[in-house]
Amino acid sequence: MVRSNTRKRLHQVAIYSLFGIVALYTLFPFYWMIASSLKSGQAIFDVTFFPDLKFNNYAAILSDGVFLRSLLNSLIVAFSVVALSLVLAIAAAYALGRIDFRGRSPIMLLVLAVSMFPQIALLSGLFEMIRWLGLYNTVGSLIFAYMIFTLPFNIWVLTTFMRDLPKQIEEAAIMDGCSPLRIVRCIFLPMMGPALISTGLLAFIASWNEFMFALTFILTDENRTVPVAIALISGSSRYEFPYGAIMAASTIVTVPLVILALIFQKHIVSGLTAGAVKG
Amino acid sequence: MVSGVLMKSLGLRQARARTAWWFLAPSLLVLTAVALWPLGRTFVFSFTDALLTEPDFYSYIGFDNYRALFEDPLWWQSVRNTLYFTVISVSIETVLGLTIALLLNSHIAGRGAMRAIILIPWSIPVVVSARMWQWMLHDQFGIVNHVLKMAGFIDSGIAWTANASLVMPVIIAVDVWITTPFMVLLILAGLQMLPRGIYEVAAIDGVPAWKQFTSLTLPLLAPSIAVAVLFRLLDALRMFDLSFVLSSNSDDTKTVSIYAREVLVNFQDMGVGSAASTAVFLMIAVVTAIYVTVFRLNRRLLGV
Amino acid sequence: MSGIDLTDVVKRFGALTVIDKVNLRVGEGEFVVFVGPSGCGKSTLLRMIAGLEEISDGELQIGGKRMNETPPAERGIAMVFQSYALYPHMSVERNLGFALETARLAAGEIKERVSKVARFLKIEHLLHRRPAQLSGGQQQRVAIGRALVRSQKLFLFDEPLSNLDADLRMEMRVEIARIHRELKATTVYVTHDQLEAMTLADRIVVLKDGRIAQVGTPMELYERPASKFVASFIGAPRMNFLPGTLRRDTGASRLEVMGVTHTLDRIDYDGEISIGLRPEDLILGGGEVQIPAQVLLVEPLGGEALVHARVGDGQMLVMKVQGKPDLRPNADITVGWMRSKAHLFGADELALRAAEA
Ligand SMILES: Nc1ncnc2c1ncn2[C@@H]1O[C@H](COP(=O)(O)OP(=O)(O)O)[C@@H](O)[C@H]1O
Ligand SMILES: [Mg+2]
Repeated sequence: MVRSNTRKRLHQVAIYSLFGIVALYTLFPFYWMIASSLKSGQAIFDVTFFPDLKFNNYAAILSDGVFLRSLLNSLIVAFSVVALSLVLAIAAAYALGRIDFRGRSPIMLLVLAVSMFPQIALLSGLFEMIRWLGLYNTVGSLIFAYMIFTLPFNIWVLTTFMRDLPKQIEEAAIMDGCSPLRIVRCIFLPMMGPALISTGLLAFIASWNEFMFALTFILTDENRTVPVAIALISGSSRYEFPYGAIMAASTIVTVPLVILALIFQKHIVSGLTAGAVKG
Repeated sequence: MVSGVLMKSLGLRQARARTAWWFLAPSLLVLTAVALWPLGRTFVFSFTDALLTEPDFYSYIGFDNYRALFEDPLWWQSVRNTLYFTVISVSIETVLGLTIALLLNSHIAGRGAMRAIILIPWSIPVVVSARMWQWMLHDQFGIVNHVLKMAGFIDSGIAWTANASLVMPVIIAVDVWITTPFMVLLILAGLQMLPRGIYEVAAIDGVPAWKQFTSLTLPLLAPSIAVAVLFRLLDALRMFDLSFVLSSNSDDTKTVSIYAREVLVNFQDMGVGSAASTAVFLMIAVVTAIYVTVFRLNRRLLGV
Repeated sequence: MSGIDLTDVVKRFGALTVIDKVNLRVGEGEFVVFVGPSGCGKSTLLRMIAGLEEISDGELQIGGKRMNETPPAERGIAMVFQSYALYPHMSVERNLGFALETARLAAGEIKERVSKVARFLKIEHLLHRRPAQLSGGQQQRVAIGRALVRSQKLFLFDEPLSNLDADLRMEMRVEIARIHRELKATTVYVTHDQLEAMTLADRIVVLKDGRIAQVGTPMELYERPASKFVASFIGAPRMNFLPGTLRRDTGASRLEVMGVTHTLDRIDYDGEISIGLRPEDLILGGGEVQIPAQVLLVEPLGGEALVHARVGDGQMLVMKVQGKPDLRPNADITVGWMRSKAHLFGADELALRAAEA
């Protein structure tokens, strides 16, 4: 009895130590990013673990019109992508999840295949398409291009969710005279809250973070999104590399995501696993 | 009115099917415009001498672009880099992910907080992570070198991202930091679907813990792991941003995606760029097909 | 204007024929109940009337008009589902008014009709709750209310009471009977519970394997079941069956059962048969025909009791007797019945009737 108790203790100590190590490894870079962003001028080059709490870097980056502009662009792109991909995917998911029609399985396959396309494989064709649509060097090009990774995923996840809604509720709505559009809008949509939050969040995160298209389809500073803006910040020489500003910008970009991740942890995880583990 | 009459004469099933196509149409249109058509055009461009500046004027030149591509040693180096990065990083992430997932699966206080914490590296932009680590790994002012110096391991700072033999391991390490959480979460979801009962039976039968792991947990978990690994594989094979930011001009970490974009955008060579893109597509398609076949995932992925 | 006519109606799912050439007339204002074992096609037939399931073959008329291709909402039908199918995110009030809202009625009129129905069903105090905050019985009332609000002339119910416990089931059964009495709407009601069928129906349709086994008033089905299947389905406890042999004679037939032979009016049949005897038609120690039996068990139900007995070599009988009989297990008794109460079924399981004189 005593022995097994000690063993249990040891086990717990081991697990919590591992927890600690993982947490430290995960969080320290963030701490360092924030700490560095709060050191002003040359102080950033002294390795001190506690920051001076100077906000010069933030003042500098936030008075920089180009950075603010790219923040705004990122917000526009992310929100538009979420809205557009959800609207399209909800309609598609109704068709795929609730209607038994010929062509259903091939389309599910197509959706799955498209979600696996490497983005680089589309680059020249997409370039041509975006030019043809007159979207080159506009945020519109990104809203359009980001459909490639948000839309198939949203369709997939929402289809599995929609399929599991009770059949009789839909039939009751049909008897009540609802058109398919009204069924989706007034009956199913309100019942799909969690799935919409999951897919919407993941679409938001993916759009907020995307880099390659944003680098390729946008030419001028004022149309860029934040990841590219941060990647392209550079000093006039190696020794003037503005790490303070970069860290401040990075912190600003990261904070909303961290807050979202912490609040909606469950939804994000269920969204991530919905596509993968179901079956 | 006309459509109403038409609908009536269609019958319920057909009317439903017609609704389905109407609801699908916008998505199919968008997917065609953003994925299928560009994929086809990229393929077509790979047989032309088109330039990015004037994509409307081109002539067909057969397999010249592919010949040029396959004769470029840098292309083959990119392929090697990509495969090396993929195999090593995904292996480490799988092992680490499994370990942490098992850890988080034990019923212990603070589990939820841990889960939230490990979500953070995954959810922020890769560019930010790259910048963060770039700064921590700075040769003169980086905290990593500082700590190593204090501990007496090194005398002068190591140029982590400038050293040809170190830069790839560094990129792999950062990728592990970024994407292990993804692995953990997927495996954790798999773990939580395992039937509780069998462990109770095993415990009563006196099966030792490690044996429970190798003969119960692992086989039952294998499908979940296999799917998670597939997603990571697909991601790793098209890796772009991490390498681009951490070591943008180094041939030692150039991935196929970076190579293709460089040819296309920097050299404006739409032909060879498209050939490279197509090659990447085929490479990923082949790897996926092999993987799916080997692990018999088709039923699981398509279990609709 | 709300009678239903089904003519040679067929439903196939792929190669599987689930409803096979059903012909049926439901008169205006009539309460018709579909009964039958699970999987016999009751719901499918009902859903074909509703328009939720396509009709593979044959014709459906409602109020004299062909409805095969008419969308459900335009058939003038209201339906109540087994799972209630209330919209979980809407208040009871909005659930009730949703169909009217869909039909773009004025808000004032919706409110008026909803509150009228709520009063009728005594659910006024629930109007602002969500379905999740209601008990099963209350949810069922709301589901019925949702059908009533549309003031249609034709109501369809698919096992509306099977998710309720026994007390509530009785209460709601009475309620549904009241609604039909007051509104006089044509009603088709699906159940697998013969008690609901007997108490509610003007006419019962017994379905078996996608075909109509018998149609008739509850008493017709009870007194003159057309087949062994119908006989065993209607009435509780179930009808008893004993094997027997029927011999044709000039002018009469002779029936041998459990070693006892008696004569009957002539029946045009010769051979092995099944004799069906309802528990309530069996008489302890009396009757025109009597056979020896042994008591197995007495189940007192209060005013009456069920006596389980064994006859011959292992045949079981259940009989219903008034009061509490003073019988011990293994006691020897005689069980008897009046000849007119015995139902005879031939080898094809169809009822045998005395030849018309
Ligand atoms: N959508 C369908 N596809 C194939 N078979 C079905 C479908 N719906 C019902 N069936 C079959 O039709 C038969 C009758 O079903 P149903 O009408 O629901 O029976 P009941 O309501 O009498 O229990 C069953 O055998 C059932 O399996
Ligand atoms: Mg049924």
